Amino acid sequence: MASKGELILGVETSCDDTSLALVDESGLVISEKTINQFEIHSGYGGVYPELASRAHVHALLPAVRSVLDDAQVQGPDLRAIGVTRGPGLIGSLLAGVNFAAGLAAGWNVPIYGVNHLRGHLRSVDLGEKRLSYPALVLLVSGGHTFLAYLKDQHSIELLGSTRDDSVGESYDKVARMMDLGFPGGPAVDKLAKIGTPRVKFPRPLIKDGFEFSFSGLKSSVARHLEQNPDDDKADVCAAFVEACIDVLMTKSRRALRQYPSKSFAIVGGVAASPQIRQEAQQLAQQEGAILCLPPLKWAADNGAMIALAAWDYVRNDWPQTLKAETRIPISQI
Amino acid sequence: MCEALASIEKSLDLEKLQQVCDRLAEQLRAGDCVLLHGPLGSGKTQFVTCLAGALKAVDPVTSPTYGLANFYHTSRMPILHIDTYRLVDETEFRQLGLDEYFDSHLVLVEWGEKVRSDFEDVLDVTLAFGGDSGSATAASRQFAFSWRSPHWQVRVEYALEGIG
Repeated sequence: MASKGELILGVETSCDDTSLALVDESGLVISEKTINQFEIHSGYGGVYPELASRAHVHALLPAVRSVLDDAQVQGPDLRAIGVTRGPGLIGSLLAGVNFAAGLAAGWNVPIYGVNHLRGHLRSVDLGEKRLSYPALVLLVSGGHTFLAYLKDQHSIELLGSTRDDSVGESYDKVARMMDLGFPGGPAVDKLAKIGTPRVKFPRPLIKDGFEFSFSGLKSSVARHLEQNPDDDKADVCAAFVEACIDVLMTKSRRALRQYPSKSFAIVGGVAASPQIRQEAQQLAQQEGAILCLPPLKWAADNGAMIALAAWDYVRNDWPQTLKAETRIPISQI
Repeated sequence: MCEALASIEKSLDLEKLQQVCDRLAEQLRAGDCVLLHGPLGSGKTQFVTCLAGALKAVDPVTSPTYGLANFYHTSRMPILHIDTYRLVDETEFRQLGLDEYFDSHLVLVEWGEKVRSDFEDVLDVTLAFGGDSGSATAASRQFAFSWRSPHWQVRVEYALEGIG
């Protein structure tokens, strides 16, 4: 049982998942509850069409009860509440922000609107401290793809992000083109392992800089499948994954050389890819950085990373902005 | 569902697409809606990028597949860029409450079929890969512009004027 002021409640509702967690200052996750839309739908027999924001409203109260009960703490004993205020889907963000604001007023605890992207960066240190600074972080998920340089825990410099699609989105869509089922990412990786990359798909923007573009790669795969509908799916997957990894690793290597870092971390759902993990290990070794891969359960959107990020807000006395915004740059608090 | 009154087809590479979008954008106003159709990777987001570029949007255009909707500011009217790829049906779409923005924004919808019944008067843009004509370069696409109301006809004809 935690004492008064030891825990922060993190509330994350920026997209599909409602996720709450209680986290202490060291990053230890005391309790955690994530409810995704799929679970809510099954509660209605699996057919009730729910929308993200209403689903969040339904999920928030049971989730907050669950994390408080599991940790055996009372709301008024919390140090603070951290809630994702963006970037994300406006209705979903508002559901979380308004709910959290109500809790904070009722319990009389401070509340901080947290930049979701800062949460992803801090997720590396959930459970145990893994990151040494300066650090290079590659975020690869369904919603985001970017490289950031962290001089220390609080100074974040965005090196480059995607101009169009995220890498996770291109994985999902390539899977969909070949009817590989859901979730698409793991299916693509699995097939890629047994295939041979016979086609050389383009590596957009690979030559210089830190910006990414995956839309053209996705289109090339679509065009290839249109022209060669009977081509071996495993070979196409292998060629696609090879192109993705080539781009991600070439940019990461460039960043590690230009911004020498002690740690190289990869966060986000696509970090689950065995191919990426393997290549990243090699890259880190060659460039003299320690590779940090947080446990996969913290790779997806989660309340724990928001709580841990909120500790930074508390410690630095950052402004308690509660305005929900669909776009917030990574550098912004 | 009513049949489209008329349509024009064109093969456009990126350069020509930008020219068409530049001319189309001149005629677009807040409250207008363009529904985009076509397979994955056919260039729906690219079309939005070209239109937003024509309107000198200050925000970068990115795929809204995960976030469902993006907003871009321009000096003429704000753009609401929607992607229904992940939505189950129009009920789910309506419950998002995005209709509040329809009158005050230029609305561009990828995978627009799911929300057709929410709009009275739209321009449909259907994209397809170049096909087997041989002349189509890797970057060129087939575009079919279709509409029911005559004012779209005027706008589309203006936009395609002088495009070979």
